[in-house]
Amino acid sequence: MLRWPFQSSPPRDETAEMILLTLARAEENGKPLSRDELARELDLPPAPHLPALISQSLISMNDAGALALSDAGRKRARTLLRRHRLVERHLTDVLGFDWTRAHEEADKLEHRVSPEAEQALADQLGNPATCPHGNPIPRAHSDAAPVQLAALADCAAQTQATITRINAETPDALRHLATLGLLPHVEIEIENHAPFGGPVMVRVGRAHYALGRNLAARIWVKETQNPALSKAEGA
Amino acid sequence: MSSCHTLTQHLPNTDLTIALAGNPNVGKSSLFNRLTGAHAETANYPGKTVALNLGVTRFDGKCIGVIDLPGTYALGAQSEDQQVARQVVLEHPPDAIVALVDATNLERNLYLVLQYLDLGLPLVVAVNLMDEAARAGIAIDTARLARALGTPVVPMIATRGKGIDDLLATVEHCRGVSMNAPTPEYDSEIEAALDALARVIRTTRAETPYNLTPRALAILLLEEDADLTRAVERLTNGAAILVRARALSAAIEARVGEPLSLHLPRARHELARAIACDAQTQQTTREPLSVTLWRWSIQPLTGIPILVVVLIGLFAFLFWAGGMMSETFAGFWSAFVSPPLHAIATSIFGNSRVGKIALWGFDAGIAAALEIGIPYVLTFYALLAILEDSGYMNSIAFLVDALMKRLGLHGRAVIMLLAGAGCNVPAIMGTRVLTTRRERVIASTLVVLTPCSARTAVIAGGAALFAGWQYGAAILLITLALIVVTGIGLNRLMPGRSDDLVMEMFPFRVPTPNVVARKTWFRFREFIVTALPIVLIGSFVMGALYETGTVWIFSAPLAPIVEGWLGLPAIAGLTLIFATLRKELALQFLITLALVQYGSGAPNLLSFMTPQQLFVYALVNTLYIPCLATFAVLSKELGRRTAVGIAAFTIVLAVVVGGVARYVLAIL
Repeated sequence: MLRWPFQSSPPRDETAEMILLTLARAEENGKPLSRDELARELDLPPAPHLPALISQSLISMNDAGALALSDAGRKRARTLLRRHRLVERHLTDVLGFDWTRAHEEADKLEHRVSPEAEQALADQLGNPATCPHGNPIPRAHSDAAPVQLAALADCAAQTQATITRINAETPDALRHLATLGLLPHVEIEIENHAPFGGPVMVRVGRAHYALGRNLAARIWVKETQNPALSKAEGA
Repeated sequence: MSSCHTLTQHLPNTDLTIALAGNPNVGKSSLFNRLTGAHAETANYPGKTVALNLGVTRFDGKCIGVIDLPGTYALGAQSEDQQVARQVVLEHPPDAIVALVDATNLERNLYLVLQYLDLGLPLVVAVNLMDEAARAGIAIDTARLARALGTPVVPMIATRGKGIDDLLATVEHCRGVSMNAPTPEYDSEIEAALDALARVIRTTRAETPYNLTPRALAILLLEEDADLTRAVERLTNGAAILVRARALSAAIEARVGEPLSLHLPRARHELARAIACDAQTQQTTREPLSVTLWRWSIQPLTGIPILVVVLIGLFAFLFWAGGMMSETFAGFWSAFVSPPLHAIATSIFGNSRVGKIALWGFDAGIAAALEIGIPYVLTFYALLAILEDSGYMNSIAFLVDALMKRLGLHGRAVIMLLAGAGCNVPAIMGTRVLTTRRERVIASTLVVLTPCSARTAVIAGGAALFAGWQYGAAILLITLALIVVTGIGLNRLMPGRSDDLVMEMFPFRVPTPNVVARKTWFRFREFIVTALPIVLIGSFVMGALYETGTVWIFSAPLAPIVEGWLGLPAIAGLTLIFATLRKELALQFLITLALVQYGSGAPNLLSFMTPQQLFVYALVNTLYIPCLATFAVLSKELGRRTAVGIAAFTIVLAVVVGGVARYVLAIL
């Protein structure tokens, strides 16, 4: 029998947990959300749940409506994120679900996973480092805030960067990028942006690729050399 | 397998067979053309849309069959061309695979080479574009490369035919010689996992799919290749093999932090880089002009003006050269071909209706297809092939991708719409390069709405000439607006969404004449095969309707729409039926039927139609289903249901917009 993970501790309701999860993902991506953006991401009005979360000091909201996780909120959210991603791994690797279905199912199941079940899942899967989509699975009992990353689409031309994560939509898309040499830890250069929000051209080794803007927004990089910054340092 | 039969029947009685493999844009077509000359065929791989070029070449008194595999960056189950590239060599193992690699980008190209080596197939590596590499300051030690890969390596400049004899001699020499040279290995952790899985495969004594070696199968399973995983599931001990593969994969993943399906490609890239770095030396040189031009063409500030100039030049040339050729051709036909045809018809059928109907088809029909086909379609195809072969097409796609995206299309689709302004038929065939059906349907619908040269002729010679240029310009603007609105609408309404662009960008190259010529010819031949029979049959039917007077019975049922809603004379409606044969016939027939109806003053259209009526007429003619040939190619490419749907949409659109235009003009 699975035990309820949050039997005695508030918040018990799933919407509140979804809010924490959504804010944690946004934080991972280096893009804090406003209340309105949160409503759009969740596809339902979060307003009724926000006061409770704020009063429990799990999140804070400034005058402009920007939301942020507190340390306690982040800890709670990372536990949920870990459970969500472990469940996804279980669904894809053991039960043979495809990625999209796994994500939807995990959205439902994550709220029902007890600490024991979480541990058992991690052991059975061999403590995987990433979910099927390539997102990192937070370690148990770690409070470290995520590293600040930038989306490839937002990097200036001539930026040198290392790919850290690719949120591809399907495994095939991820593998296709892998065959072209676009993988985490690979060094790339952002060469050029097409006009009107068009594709981004990157160089990998000697090869040049144009990547559509949506795809480029899902590739996260750590800038190693930014032309604007190095100019400022030089001056 | 049935596919065996269909492929080999194209290559009968060859002494040996080679398959050409390689990345796109490495000169595979050049090499294939050099090898096979004019003796080549295109065959569709059974059940796939990917076409293979097949041909034969002679060397040293032997007949060598050549299979040109689709150009891919990798082998795998991810896309149809990758599947075909692998399946062909697994199902019909050639005597040697010739892997063509780009000397200017060895490390990326060696990835595919390593995948073929992983499959354990006999391989000869041809390092092409040695001249371009030399210009870029890259020197490649082919002997060193050969030692690292454990396969023969031949340097080559395919466009100039250099190295081809060496390549064929090497292929012939290698045949039958078992390849014992050690091939490159991955890191010890991966190799240990491969060994472990290969042992399991060996102990099950299962007959591996395609007789793959245990190591080759182990690599594919650990990479989670979908096709091979399915094939192994069907084996008697398949489940045991797959369980072991998953366990090995999980163990490595726990250590390296990523699944083997990504870790193995990563290891392969690293291996490719190491081998490439070891085999080449790079000197710094001045950037070649082609690279500088290429950079200009993709910088927004310089790229957009260049694009505008190129497109204006392209279409100016198309209409100028096409128009000139069309006139010359028409003159030639009416002087030398038409009279003998008339003489033959009269001698056989006398002055009867049958003779006249035959002339509709054999004289006017064929002339019509060729008058549009040769000048406009052939010229357009040649220009398109040059754009593609030079690499400029990719620059265009890069610049306009954002705009096309709003219409639910890739940047690459822009060229189809432009092609549609010449003739819709080749433009719709051209949508094959788009990856999803959704994109093809959207692109084809928008192409159909694009006024082709025949419809432009009606706009210019009907509306603009008699009613005034403003009317002509207004029709073009309305059509453009409808194309944009339809694109945005389809993008919203059609389920799914378009894939994101992932496209290689490469510096310009001088197009190879024989590749351009061949591409042009293959496409043109397809146009003729599709369009000519339709135009011929249509011409006979229309001829019969006209010569027997049957055509007039259509005027009554059409009256409510033509006279009531659009406010046009009844004969105008009839000519719209004829125009399904060829759009500019609308105008020709309007005059012909008007002569019958109204007498000799009719050639001045204003004698029986107002400027507003001419405007509505040309507008409706522009919008509704272009012509029979276009409909035929839509059916062939997208299926009859979709073709009927698109046709119905354009007819409704034409009638609605035409009627609205009539009432709006009345208010103005």
